[in-house]
Amino acid sequence: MINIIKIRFITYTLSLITIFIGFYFVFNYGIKFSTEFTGGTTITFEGDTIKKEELKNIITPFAKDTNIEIRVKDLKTATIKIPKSLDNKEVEQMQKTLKDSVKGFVLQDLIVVEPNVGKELINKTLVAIALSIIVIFLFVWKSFGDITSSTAAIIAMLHDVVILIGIFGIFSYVYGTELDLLIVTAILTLLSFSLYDTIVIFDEIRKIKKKFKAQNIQNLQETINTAVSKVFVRSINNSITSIIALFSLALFVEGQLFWFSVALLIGVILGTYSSPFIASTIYYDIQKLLLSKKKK
Amino acid sequence: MDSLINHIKNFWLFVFVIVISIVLNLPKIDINKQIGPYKINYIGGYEINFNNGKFYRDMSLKKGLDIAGGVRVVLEPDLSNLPPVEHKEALNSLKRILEIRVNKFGINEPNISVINFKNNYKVYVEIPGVKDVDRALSLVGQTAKLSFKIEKEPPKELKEGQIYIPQFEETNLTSSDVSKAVPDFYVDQTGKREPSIKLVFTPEGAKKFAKITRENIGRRLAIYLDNQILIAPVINTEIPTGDAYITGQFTIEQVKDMAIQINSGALPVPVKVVSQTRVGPSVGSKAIKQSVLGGIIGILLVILFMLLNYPKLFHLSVINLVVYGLITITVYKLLPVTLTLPGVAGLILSIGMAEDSNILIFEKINDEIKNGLSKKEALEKGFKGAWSSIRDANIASLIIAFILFNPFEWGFLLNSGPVRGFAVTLGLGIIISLYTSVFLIRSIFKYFYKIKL
Repeated sequence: MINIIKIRFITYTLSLITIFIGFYFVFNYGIKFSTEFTGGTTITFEGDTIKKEELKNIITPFAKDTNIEIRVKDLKTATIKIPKSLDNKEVEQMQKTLKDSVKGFVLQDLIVVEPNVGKELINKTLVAIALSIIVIFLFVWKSFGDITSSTAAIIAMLHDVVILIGIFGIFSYVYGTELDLLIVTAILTLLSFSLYDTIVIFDEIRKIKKKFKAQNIQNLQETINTAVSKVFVRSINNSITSIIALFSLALFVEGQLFWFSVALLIGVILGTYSSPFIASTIYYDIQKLLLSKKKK
Repeated sequence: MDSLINHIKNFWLFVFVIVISIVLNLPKIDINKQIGPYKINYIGGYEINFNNGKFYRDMSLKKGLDIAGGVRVVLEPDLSNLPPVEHKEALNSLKRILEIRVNKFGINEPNISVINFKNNYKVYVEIPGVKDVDRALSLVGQTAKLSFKIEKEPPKELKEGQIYIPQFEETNLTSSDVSKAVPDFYVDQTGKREPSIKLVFTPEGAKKFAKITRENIGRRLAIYLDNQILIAPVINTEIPTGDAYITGQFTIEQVKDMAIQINSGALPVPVKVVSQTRVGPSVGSKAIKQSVLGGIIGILLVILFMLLNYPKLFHLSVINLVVYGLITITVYKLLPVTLTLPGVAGLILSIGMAEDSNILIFEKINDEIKNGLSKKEALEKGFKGAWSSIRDANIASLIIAFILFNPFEWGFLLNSGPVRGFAVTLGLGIIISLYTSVFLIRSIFKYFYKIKL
């Protein structure tokens, strides 16, 4: 049997260190947001041989004294970011100019977003995350009939979200990864991964409790340890099927879809980790706290 | 167990669903048979065609913007000139007119939604598969309000050095007096053919037009589109027939687009393009190949994993996966679900999740066998024991998919195409996998192992 309660201070410390490292990067170097959030113009295209310096001269007149960011990959694919959101005519003109000066020009992707639209998107994302957490809190509360379970489940969810954001802070610094709508989607999906295994464990705890009517804290520790040990293998097996599917996706796709599958992949792993090592142990700590208060 | 299961316990319902799914995914098979009052022409071929096309349904998979290429435009309607009570009606007709325009442009399945965020309205228009993006943009972005103005009385005498510029004033002739606009060729006196738009007036409009032309011979009648003058010919005689040609230096394409705009009606309010995304078709097709390859390898590995871990129950998980895939594709085609790249990711992820419930059930069954129960008892107890966690865990996932998909288009939630594309495949994946991995497996237990469940 795994004594998950005994080792909980090790896992708590591990999590805190990971969170700290992630946040060190996020607060010191910031996270790059995609054009969808910041507003502006981004164009991605292919060409036969693309030279960065030439592009700079072509694009500068359109940028109107704002900082252009140009990334060229293998002389074949270029991404140009202009902080200003161009209007329709300017976009047409820029495309025409690029077509004329870049041999083999093929447009891949063009996005123009007004700054206020981006701000709205940030608001909506935060609302979506908050709403998900509230609804799930209420659902777990109703389903398991105690607020301890739902609090522990939510803390584990937040733990996963915070770590994932931290990891993307590191990716952002090292690889220049942008946080876009897909990554946000992955963060929201992570909420459900995180919950899946937690519910399986809590369901097991519920069943054992029903059987033995565990009251004191010693029994609770045993109950949780038994429940976690019982479902540990199936939790991991559950996640492995998702990990296999996502891993083979990540192996073949590129661009933002790659980062999306990486985010989902990390999400599955975090969700599997946090259910026994965070949700169950936090559940224990809250119960312990409540019991010690009762005694007083 | 839950009453829901009792409703879907029939094994034969699954057989029916599977047969329908196979038929709908078959290539074209000619039938040409009369069945009762209905004639079935053929089945499969990725479409349904009953009764000589009276019931017709295209069954090809719809490809989204990021796969087929195309454009996504966000329009901001200017409602400042309308009283708030008329906003809703104006937005509805705006959406309707945009739909007509995009449909007439010849692209299938545009996706248009109106979002309200703190009374700040936005209209999202997604047009997959469109090649000439600039043309599509001007088609949706223009109000296309026709107006007819007549030249004011010219001054009797011009001062020295003064050039005469005609001044125009409104007439009572409006857009609603035009019954339709037809792209046409106008042949002038020299026999030169020129692309033009023929305006056909309603009977009421024709009367107004005749009156205006009768009373203003010798003056100019100007036709405006969105306050831009298109043409201002001098009226030579009264025109009682009610047809008017608009000529200019137009290309055939411009004439066609203008006719679409005029026929679909002017937008009730002016709109401004606040965001646009253009995607070239080459990216999508490459990415879809990569994702499909990743998906296939993923499925094979998942099957291998199941074989290694649950060799005795392995066949059930293969049946589950196959039926799951079949039903999923059919549901995508029937709804239809527009497939986007995040959607494909959601689909692949849901393959992993489809096995989750199986694993929970199999593990419980193994537990019960270890506890010394007979195989039959273990199947029964294991199945019942796994259900409560499967139910709660899947409901939680559905809640998230629901919030991401935002089916009621709540303005305070996300409404972006990629997010929705992912949410819809994930949500459907959860529901369908529950159906196959729980109810199908249960039916098989009941039917082949004669177990009471």
